Amino acid sequence: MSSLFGSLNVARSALFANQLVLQTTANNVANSGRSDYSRQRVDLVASLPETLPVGQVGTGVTVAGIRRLRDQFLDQQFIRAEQSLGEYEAEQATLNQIEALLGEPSDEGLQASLSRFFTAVTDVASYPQDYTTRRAALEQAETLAGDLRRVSSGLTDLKRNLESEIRGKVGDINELLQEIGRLNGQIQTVVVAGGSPNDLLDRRDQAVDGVAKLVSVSRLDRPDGTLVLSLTGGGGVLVDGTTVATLGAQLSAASDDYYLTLGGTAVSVTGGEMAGLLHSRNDADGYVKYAQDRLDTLAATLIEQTNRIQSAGAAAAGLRTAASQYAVSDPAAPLVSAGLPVGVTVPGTVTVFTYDTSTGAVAGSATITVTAATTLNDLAAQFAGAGLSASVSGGTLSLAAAAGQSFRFARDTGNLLPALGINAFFTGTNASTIAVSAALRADPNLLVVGYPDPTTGVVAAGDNRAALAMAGLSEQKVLGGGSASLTDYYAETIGVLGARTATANRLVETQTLVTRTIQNQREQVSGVSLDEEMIELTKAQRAFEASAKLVVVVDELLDTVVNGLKR
Amino acid sequence: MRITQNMVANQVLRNVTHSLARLAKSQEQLSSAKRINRASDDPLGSGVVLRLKANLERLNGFQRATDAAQEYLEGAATPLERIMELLHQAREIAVQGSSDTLSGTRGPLAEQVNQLLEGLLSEANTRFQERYVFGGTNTDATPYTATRDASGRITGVASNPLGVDGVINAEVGPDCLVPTNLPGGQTFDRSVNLFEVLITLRDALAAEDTAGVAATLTPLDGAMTQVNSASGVVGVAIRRLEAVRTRNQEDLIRLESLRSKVQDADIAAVYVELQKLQNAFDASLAAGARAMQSSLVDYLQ
Repeated sequence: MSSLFGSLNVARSALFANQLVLQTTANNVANSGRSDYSRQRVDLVASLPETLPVGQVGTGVTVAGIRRLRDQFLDQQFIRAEQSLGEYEAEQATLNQIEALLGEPSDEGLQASLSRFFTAVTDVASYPQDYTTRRAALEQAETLAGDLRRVSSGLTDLKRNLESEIRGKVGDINELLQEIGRLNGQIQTVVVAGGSPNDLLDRRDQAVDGVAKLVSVSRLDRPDGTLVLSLTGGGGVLVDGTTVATLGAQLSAASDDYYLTLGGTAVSVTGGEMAGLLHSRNDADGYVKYAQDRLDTLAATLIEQTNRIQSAGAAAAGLRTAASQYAVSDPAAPLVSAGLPVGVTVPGTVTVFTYDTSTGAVAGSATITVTAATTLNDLAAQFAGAGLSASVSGGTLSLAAAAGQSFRFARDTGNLLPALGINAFFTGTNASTIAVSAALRADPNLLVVGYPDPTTGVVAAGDNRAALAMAGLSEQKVLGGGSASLTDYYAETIGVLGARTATANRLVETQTLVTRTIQNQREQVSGVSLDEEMIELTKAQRAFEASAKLVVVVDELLDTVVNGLKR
Repeated sequence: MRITQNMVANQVLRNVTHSLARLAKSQEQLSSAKRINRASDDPLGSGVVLRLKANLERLNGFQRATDAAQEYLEGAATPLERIMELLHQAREIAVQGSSDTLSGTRGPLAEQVNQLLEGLLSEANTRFQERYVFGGTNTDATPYTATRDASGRITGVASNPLGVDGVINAEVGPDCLVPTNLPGGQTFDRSVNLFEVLITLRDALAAEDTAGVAATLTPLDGAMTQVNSASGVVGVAIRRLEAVRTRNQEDLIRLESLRSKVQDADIAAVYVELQKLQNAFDASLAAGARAMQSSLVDYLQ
């Protein structure tokens, strides 16, 4: 049976419901700036009607719930898009750094140093007797070696930076995993008790998203509210209930790779920023390692080729002393298997001429023979027989001329001198160790310009054949099995890295667009529209006002009934 | 489709950053005047540019080597002219001295020839930029040494036992070697030994040996032919160097224009592009400011 008090109740339910709508709207507006906020809506339903003999009559409005507007499918897509974006961005950052480090094409890069070095050597050939050109050529050689070392150490720094970044991200993941484990426990308690832990679920989702941005993970929700998080691709379980595994990162000494470990065993990860960082650090086909490897090969070839010419040529000044720079593993082991960076060709010979320092006349000559069985100790004995004092210590050979004498080498058919690094132009074995030989720096007159006469040992001051040969290295195809010059090889390296970087730039651009599109779609569903909220606000306000008016009307009716009937 | 304030704001931000990035790229091209500023701008082009730059620098080296070679060859040309002059004088004296009408007065002529001989020796030992021009590769040792009698007269001239015929080459182009010196033997002792001819002439004049003086005329002619051909060799080499220099110069220009075509920016096009981007940037800023200005709140009282 309807009553005035029934109408009052209807008005009360409307006042209450609209108040809730107002508060929800206010909350939406307050959070409108947050990108991860989902707008909320109050779901209102009509209260159960009262059945009267004449029919059913409504009893007002009931709040069915407050709903978050969110699309789970879009959320997953967004995480995946962010994973790819993170991966590409990490690779792009590395490639951009390598590109900046090499700084090509430029007028001051490695290529310029290399070219200028060869021009300076050409000048030596043009003015074979001139001390200044030798000095200038050595200065250029030092600039070239310095550039190679600078780039090489920059690449090493980049590797170390990537490693520390990987360690930092591993730390982040571990913290998030701990939090997920903790929340798993709390959620389980609430769920088992029959409750709905909305806030805790939100926080756990956020933590899972955080992990997913860094590495690709798959999740499995259990009925008790806990979840199992494992690395995609069967990499291993990260979190199961409250059991949390710990990720680690370490360097493989054997392969110079940096890899992740889970509970002490190596794991591979796919997707996410971590995958991008690991690719950048470990891949040999276009990132840091590639650049380093190419530069090392370039430097090693430059060292070997220049040393080949320098060691058996004739410089203005004869050698007083000479020492090998590459140590053998065992002085009593055959040279061919003594672990030298440059190979010895056997059988081979090298001629040693000794000179009288005061007159410059040839004082004697001897032929040193290298066979497959020759050891460093044998060599020392042979050099001693040639009138030099020779000693072996720590796997290296030291030679010194007798008093008042100097010596030069000629016709090194076995590649013995560059293999041992005796009378070298460059010392070192790769881009990080290359340097102009200290002896040359101390005395530019030791820079070879010509060759001694192979039979008499006489040195002609105007002979520039060695300098011409060294300048000719610039176009000689000494790399890639005789298919590329030093310049070709370097240009190819720059081309490959440039193509990689261009691809990475494009990928990041495309993936950014994809991510933004998904973000936009998500925003369409979950974003707060202020205009919409204003309309909601107005609607609720008007409904509230109307309900209040209803209370007034019912009050007046009651007044009529109570006070009017009294008269 | 629902549009929210955040979407509009994001869109505006995205457009503005995108326009700004393109504007910055265009500005970089304009200020550096280069289309390729880093390898990723054009990976293929970067490799080409590097190779071209290496070639350009190598050509510059060749040009410098050409200049040096020419200097040396010209350093040899001058003494050759003077030697020619000496031989002419010697021949005139020989003609004069072989004449029967002149009798008992050949002593001064012999003295003149002796002076010419001394002059020849000094020309043979000419130094140019610290190098003995006719010393072969032994540029630091006196190429021709005279033996003298008690009165100081030259009785013979020996060449450096280490050799005076070594050739010094210069690389003036890829695999293009050009000799930069004239081996001493070619000038002084190929078919005729210049020193011996003058010594014979002097001694014949001193001995009033008319027939002996006349006999030197043929070798003197041979000597002049020999020096002439040596000059010819130098002349040909200098002309060849000039041709090489011209070719290298042309190559330099060609390669440089090629490099410019690959690496340099088309300034006019970039400028127009920059203006377009500037307009787009302004437009996106203006549109953004306008789109985010109004809200329903402004109209609710």
